[in-house]
Amino acid sequence: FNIEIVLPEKRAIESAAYISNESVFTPWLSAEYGVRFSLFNQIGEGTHYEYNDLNERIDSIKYEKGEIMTKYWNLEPRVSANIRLSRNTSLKASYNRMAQYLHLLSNSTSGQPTDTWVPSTTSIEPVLVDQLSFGFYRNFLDNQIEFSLESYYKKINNIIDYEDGAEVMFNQDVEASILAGEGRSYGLEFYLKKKYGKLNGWISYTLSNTENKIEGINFGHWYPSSYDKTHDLAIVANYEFTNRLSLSATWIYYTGNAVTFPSGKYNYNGLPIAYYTERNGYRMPDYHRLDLNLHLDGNKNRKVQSSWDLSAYNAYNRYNAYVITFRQSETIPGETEAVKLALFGIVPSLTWNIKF
Amino acid sequence: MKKFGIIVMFAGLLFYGCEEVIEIDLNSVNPMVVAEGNLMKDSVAQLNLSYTRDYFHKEDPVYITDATVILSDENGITDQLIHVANGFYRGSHLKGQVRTDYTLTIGLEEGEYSGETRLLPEPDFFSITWAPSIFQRPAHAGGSSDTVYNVTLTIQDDTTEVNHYLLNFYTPSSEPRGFYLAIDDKYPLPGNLLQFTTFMFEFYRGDTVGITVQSIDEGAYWFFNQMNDVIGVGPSGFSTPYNPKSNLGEDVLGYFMARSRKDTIVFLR
Repeated sequence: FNIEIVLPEKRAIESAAYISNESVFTPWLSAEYGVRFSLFNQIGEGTHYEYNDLNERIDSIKYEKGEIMTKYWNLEPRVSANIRLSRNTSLKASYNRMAQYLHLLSNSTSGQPTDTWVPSTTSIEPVLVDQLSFGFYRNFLDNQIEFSLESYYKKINNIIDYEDGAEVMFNQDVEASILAGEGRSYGLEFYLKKKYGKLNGWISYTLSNTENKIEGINFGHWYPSSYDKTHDLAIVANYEFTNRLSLSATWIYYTGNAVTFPSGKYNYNGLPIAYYTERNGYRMPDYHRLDLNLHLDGNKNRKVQSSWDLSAYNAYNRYNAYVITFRQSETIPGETEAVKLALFGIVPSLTWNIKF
Repeated sequence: MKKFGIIVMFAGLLFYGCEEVIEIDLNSVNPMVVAEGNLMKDSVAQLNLSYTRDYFHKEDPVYITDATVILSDENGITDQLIHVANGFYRGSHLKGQVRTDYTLTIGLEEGEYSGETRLLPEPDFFSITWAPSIFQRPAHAGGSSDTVYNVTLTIQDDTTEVNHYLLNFYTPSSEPRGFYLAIDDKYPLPGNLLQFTTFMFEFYRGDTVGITVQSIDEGAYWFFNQMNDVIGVGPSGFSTPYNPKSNLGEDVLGYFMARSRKDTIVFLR
């Protein structure tokens, strides 16, 4: 006997047109500006439901196939200015407005990470983002070295998240379990690149903060977005031993995702119950790994060329946390323990490539 | 120009997962008041009061022994619950009467907390039947070789009230259920009958099945549904983590509820 749960399909068409222009006002001042017009139609066949405070369906409107259920349009202006301070130095400032019609819902529990994408509907308005950014750019040593430092600030409207107690699996009425509010994100991005030479590569680092404020979640206070990453660092290095043999290394590090862990516990009716405080008030362990790749080219003068790659993904075999669950201790009665599950450690591979 | 490549991965290493017990530093939080209040029909009120405790370590509960607890009914009659031991309080003379509203007030140093409930009439059993389960798994698929029986309970709904019921089906050897079975009266069968069948339990011929049905108010019904999301020591993964809503205010965990109860036993012959 099988029980079938069918989540309703949602169909939509998104269209856009844009116009932009670049103007060079003086040798040191140029600007790019334009506007994008986006149009989003949710189309049937489908049913729109109205819900009461208990998330129960109280009314519905049915739509035929191809019938427009709801429509949104937005103008998305964008402008950027480039000020050249010297041959190697420039400043940049920009403003963008963006409309996003697909929303990502993430469950903040660490027990089972699940992401759901939902389109804008009659109940879910598009996300609107206003972004300001400023940047400083400088090249060194005859453009061998590129350096940039950028800052940004985003204001986000109609960001959505699950309400407390929302069912996150097989929820046929997910729209009833969503609340909308505002978000903000700001940060500083550092970038340094060496373009030429036996040793080349780049370093990028971002320091940022992304948070939401939604009435009904976290007592209406600001809380970290699930994908907020305070630190995000990438170091990429390539070294050419010869014109056939090279080694590349990539080291990635970022702050763990924001998650909701229990802060205490109690018993009710003899059963253990976890007690929660703030939404996304904790962090998964930081993520970092090193990838190595040794590349060997065959004879490049042949018609059929081959090469080999010997790689090690996660070369130092770090078990980055995929999920963290909680359970009664297996060794100490009455105690609770946190268990980290990692998917895999080092993944070596050998690749043979042929080009003809 | 065509390119292709052959990748040989050491697949065994690829899918080698790892489970490890780790230490997590939890935020320091003020303990919350936990209240488990019950008023049964024809009985005095009882209340268990304690604080939440450290999440990871085994600690003795921190009982609240100095609260001022008053039960009052809609007619203004009051009864003070006296602390007996280990955070357990009991009333003396005000007993639960059906179709009556009650208020429990808890006075603590932190503040005063108050919750309301209504005691509804005990359920009226219309019939209890049992039959072989239509969902029994075949023995070759891991099911029992003995016939599994389901018990069907039918309740005569009281249409003068909005009713909710908490059900429990058990045998003498049953392990405590890790969830609550709560139903409402929104979709009765003809004749205002409410029916429930124990598809999720397995009973066998010769079993003595105990059935307990408690009438609860709507607030308690939603509380038990929410408790199903949070029972256990950690997030279930099926819902976003949260604390079930208490009728004693935002600063209290737990619930105060009035219930009437009916028990019976059936022998599966």
